[in-house]
Amino acid sequence: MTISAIDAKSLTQKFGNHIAVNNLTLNVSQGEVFGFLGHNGAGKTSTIHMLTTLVKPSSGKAHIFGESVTANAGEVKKLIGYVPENVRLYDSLTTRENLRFFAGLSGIESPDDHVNNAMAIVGISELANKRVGQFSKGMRQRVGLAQAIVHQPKLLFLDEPASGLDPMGIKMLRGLIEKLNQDLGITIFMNTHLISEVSKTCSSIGVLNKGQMIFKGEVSEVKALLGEENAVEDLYLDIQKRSEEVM
Amino acid sequence: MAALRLSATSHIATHSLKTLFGEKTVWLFILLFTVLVVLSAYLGWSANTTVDAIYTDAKQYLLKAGNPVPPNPVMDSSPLSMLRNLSVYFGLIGVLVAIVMGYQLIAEDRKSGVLPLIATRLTSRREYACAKVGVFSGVLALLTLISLLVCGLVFVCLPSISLSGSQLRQLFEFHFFAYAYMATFGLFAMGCTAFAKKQSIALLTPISLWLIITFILPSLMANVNPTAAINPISTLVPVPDSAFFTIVHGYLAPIALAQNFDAISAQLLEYGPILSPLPVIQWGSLICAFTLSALFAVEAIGRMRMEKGAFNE
Repeated sequence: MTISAIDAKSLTQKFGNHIAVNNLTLNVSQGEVFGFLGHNGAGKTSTIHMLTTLVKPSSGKAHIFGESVTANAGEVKKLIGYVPENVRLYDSLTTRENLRFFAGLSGIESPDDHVNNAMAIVGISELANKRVGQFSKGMRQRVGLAQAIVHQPKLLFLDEPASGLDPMGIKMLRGLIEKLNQDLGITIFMNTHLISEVSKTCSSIGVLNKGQMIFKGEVSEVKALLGEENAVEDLYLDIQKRSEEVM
Repeated sequence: MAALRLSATSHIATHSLKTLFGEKTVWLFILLFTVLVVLSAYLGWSANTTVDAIYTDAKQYLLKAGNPVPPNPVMDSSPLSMLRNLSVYFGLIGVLVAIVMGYQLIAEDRKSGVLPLIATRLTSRREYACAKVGVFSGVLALLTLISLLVCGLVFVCLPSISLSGSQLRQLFEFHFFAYAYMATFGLFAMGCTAFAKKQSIALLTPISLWLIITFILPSLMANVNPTAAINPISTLVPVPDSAFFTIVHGYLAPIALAQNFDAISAQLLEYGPILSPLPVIQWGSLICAFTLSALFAVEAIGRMRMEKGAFNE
């Protein structure tokens, strides 16, 4: 039996009286590119924060490749890479210095090899000795991806990766995600509200509304059901509307 | 695992040290502090030499006139008192250096917004806090050591003046308390920077506390003019004989860190009234404040919301 990349059961996150994530049960298989859809404030980022060990769940359980995010946070950290919505790095340091710092924190024995490898994968070797502070949003996103894969994780969390990117940047990012998934076998969990990206990049999707999972399925099934054109968008809008009516 | 944990702490510490010394403001303050320590030693030496030269001239004149010669005032004063201005420089520039360093060590990571990336690596908040507090303590200790070396050089260069064993011990004790005094504010700044939501509050809170303790409390407790804080002698005045000052002094004495540090400095550097042993309230308040600040810094860093990290989020 293959272990799931992500296995969450009844995951809940409360901030005072506000319930950001409500009883979320989620399973992502190894090798998937999972698109996590939802409006702003639906609880997508809170879910990532729990799965990446940044915050402890108020209740429920979550396992990454069989390791508990609460009991074995150290083991989970070895398995995951994380790119936040706004990639922030040390602006005064070069790309190489930034990557070396994060590689060092991952306990890598020969960080230089890993740094060179990560830069080559995301195509930023020529930016190695340039200060990150002078980079555009798209270039920072690539450095952010490089820091996330520098320790060769098995699972990558991307929080709104296409946010603020121009069409060329989005296309480049799409190519990188495919490369990481198909060539390196990295499972990808991607928060987004850009439906077009989900339909082009992801193999399965989940839709979150007000902290609750209201749909989960394969993108190919959705397309077969609703037709290729705008299938995911139509589905998303439909289930969001129905969900609002029920709630 | 233990080796890895040590490695994570030292890795963050090395990085923090590099970014700290990459800041021009930090260099500027450290340079200013070092120059003032040297200047303090020079001023003490210069004052003593001048008085001694005048005394020598006067002595010859008095001897020729057949008048009795009074003792040399330089010989009457302790050689340690040459260093009295140090207490002012530690209390003013030294504390500012500590505040800037404490702020910068945490603000660098919060301004960059890298905390979520650090927190998803193989390091714990405790290790992160240890690295930051360790770098701060080490750099501040280095500064204090520089001051101690400058003082040592002064006495080596002036063979006519030598310190007794107890005076040497007092010089070490003075630097110990100076370190604790500076670190109190620096660690408080570190905690505030970890705790504050806004960047401006992070820096203004420790500076405001320092201003209150250095300039306002002495006015409230002993009617000391605020500018007296830049004179090592002026703050050493008795409490005015009035009900208000007596009551206020009674309540505020334990937190009057600036006055307590001045009083300790005056005794250890032998330019003020000697009270042996040092009053507990004076050294006790400094040690308590240092301990509380250190606990506050570690606790505030440990409770930082690493998932947000950046200021104003």
